[in-house]
Amino acid sequence: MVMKKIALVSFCLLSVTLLSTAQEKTKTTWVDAEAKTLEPKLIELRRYFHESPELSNQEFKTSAKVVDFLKSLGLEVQYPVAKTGVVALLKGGKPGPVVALRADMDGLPITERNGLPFASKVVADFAGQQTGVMHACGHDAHMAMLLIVAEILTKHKAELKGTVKFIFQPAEEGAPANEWPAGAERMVKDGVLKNPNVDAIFGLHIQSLLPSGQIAYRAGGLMASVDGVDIKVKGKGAHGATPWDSVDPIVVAAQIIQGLQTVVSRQTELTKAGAVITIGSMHAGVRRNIIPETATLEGTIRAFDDAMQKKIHEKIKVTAEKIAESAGATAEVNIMVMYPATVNHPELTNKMVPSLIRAAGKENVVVTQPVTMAEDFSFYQREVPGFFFFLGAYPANMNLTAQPTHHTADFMIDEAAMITGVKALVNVTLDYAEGWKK
Amino acid sequence: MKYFLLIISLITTSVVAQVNPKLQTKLNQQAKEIETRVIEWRRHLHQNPELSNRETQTAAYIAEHLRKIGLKIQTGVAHTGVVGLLETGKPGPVIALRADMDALPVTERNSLPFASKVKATYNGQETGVMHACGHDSHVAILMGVAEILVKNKAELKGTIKFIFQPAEEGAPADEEGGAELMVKQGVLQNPKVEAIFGLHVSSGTPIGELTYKPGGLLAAADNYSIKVLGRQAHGSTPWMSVDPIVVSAQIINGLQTIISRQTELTREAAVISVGRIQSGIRENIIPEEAFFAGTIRTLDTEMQDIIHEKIKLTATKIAESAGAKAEVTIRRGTPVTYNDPALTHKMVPSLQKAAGADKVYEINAITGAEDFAFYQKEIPGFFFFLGGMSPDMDPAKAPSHHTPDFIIDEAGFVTGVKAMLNLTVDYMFAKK
Repeated sequence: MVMKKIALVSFCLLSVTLLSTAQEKTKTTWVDAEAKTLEPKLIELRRYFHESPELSNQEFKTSAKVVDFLKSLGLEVQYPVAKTGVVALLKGGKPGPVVALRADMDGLPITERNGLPFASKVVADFAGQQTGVMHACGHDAHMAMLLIVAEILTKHKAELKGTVKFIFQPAEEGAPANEWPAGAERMVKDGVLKNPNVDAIFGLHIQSLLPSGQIAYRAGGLMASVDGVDIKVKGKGAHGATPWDSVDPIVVAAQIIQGLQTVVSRQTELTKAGAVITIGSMHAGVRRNIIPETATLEGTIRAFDDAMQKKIHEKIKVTAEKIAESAGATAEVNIMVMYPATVNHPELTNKMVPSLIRAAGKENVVVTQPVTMAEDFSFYQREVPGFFFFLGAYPANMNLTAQPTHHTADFMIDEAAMITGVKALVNVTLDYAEGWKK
Repeated sequence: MKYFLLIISLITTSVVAQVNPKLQTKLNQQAKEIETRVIEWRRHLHQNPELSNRETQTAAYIAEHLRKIGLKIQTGVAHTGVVGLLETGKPGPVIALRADMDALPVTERNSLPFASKVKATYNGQETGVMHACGHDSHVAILMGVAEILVKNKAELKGTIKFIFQPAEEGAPADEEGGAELMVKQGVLQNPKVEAIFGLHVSSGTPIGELTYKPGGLLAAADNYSIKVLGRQAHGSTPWMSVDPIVVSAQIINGLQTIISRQTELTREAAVISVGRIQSGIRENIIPEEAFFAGTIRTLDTEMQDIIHEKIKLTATKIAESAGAKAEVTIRRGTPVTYNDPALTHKMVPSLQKAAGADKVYEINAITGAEDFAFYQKEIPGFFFFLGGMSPDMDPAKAPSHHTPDFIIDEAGFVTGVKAMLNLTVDYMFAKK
């Protein structure tokens, strides 16, 4: 079974490479040339977005800028979609598939600290707290790249096969609790993949820990599903001096946390895919000598496979409930299903590898391990074949160990990497349309 | 409230105790006189120890003595037990006095001139046999007590039953024995015993001292075993298994919280120990099941029942939490050695008469077990400790019971003889 899959994959990879050799030369020439020409504009756009970050579902100025830009290209623009999202349609001169390209738009509640001349000074209210706002995950770069891709493709509209749908999505980082569903989930719900129906979707993410200009990809599970788990342990309160009068929810919670470790270590098929259960918050009690009535645990669950995810959810429930019962307590387990795993359609992925190689160079396209971060691009992939990849952006002169990671105040990317991203997105669009059969 | 009432009853009984002070003095005097013979008997017994339910020579030795002093005796009770009956012919209570007879599979290592050289087979193994718990002293003391009481029969009333009990340390597997079997065979009936007294020599208590505790003195000892049923798999693929070893570890941790969080430790102490754990045969095979077993010690019957229930719940539910199953078996063993509080308070003055008021004191409960408990389950009983530690012994270095170096200072015996005599006559003459 496994053998067969490998044979098929390499065969189709080979054929794509052979078939497209002829057109490759010409395409490469103009794609690279256009990208080069537009690079200053690309950087300018990114800096504009970087300086004006907005929180999830608040991307009003951001979307206005996106709308203006797309309208200036003469594209058919739809706004707002899923609160602050923008969707634009580019109809090519030749028949072909509908390809969607997606960029996310939101910044994060982080106060920028990196000393860039275009660092954000924006301040906003987040969950009742005043905070700096920062594009600390690189969504600014995603938007800039996708706008330039739109410009390049619009310019070559006549020779474009099929239709391209540009999706500028809000709230990838998660919307405020009362605004769910949001982001990709809501865009899908609001029909972004319909009318015209999308055949395939592509997206990328800047990666500050990968060398600048490198592209990393993976067929199958690339990024984890993320679900939240809340466990409320209900015991019985008592004076700290008389534990026998209590059902101690703190000790029970500790036992549950230990038990949860065994869900991963003993009960999960780790060779199929990794999995993570992290308890990130534990709260109980107010005073050292009072055994409280309840304890609450909050955690995050990461998985790469739907079936495993489901199984882990069930095992978390059994583990918590039964351990609680073992001590005469009860546990209420509430699992909030959030983002599914970002699973790259294997066939589509392997078909698109040559397009990435043409953009970045053979030596710069690498296969990556799955990462346990999550990405709501997964919601599109549940509906249509999708391919999501990473674009390396850590500056050559930077020490990798000192390189700040995403979601930190010092986060920084090498803007020189963006041109590779532009080329990659244009290439996958053109190549997909080229190889597309009705 | 309860204790307050007890104190009142204590005062009243002391006031109405009607023992002739002359008799009391005489008994204490005779105890002193018999001391050398008690020591002699004890040395003979010490040199000829026998394992539980095998105390045939010991029984013959006791029987011969009881016969000689003119007691009506019954032998072969609960295998090798000997029961002597002293009937005064005058109406009065039936009081039982008990001594245990068996020795242990321990090879004696002290340099006593009368150290045991006896060897025997225990569980298929050749071993030395030693009176390493002091039952030799108990027998010798009770032989002396019997002789003195017989001598003073004319001044006594009621009936005294002398119980020499085998197998206190536990009968061999597949055999019944000890106090439980004696009770089963009716040792407390015909005539029906009203109260029972017993003592235990203590290697860590100074000679001349007597210690006691009302309520639970020695623990109930119950055995439990837990079998965790999982699913076998290769050690490299735990997800194919339900790992009984990890589940057992979780259960063992869970059991700790029964004591630490769920047991009212101010009422009485309690212990759950895992003494044995067994699972698997090879490092890279996750076994199908795990087995572990341990002992439960409690000092209160109600707490004992609650702890049993909690052990079952803890094990079965933690097992279920991981998709395994736990089978819990609890075998009740010796019950708690529970000194009837009213009887205890009533009898403390007798101990004081034997040892002096400053030499009698209350101690903490002990988590060891004693099958005297089986008598106390039926009738009020009082069990106490007799000091057996030499004044020149460093208490921190006193060899403990059940060890090859165990040693008892015989100078403490006379206090034991006096204590048993005083308990008997005080109870006998106490006004109901």
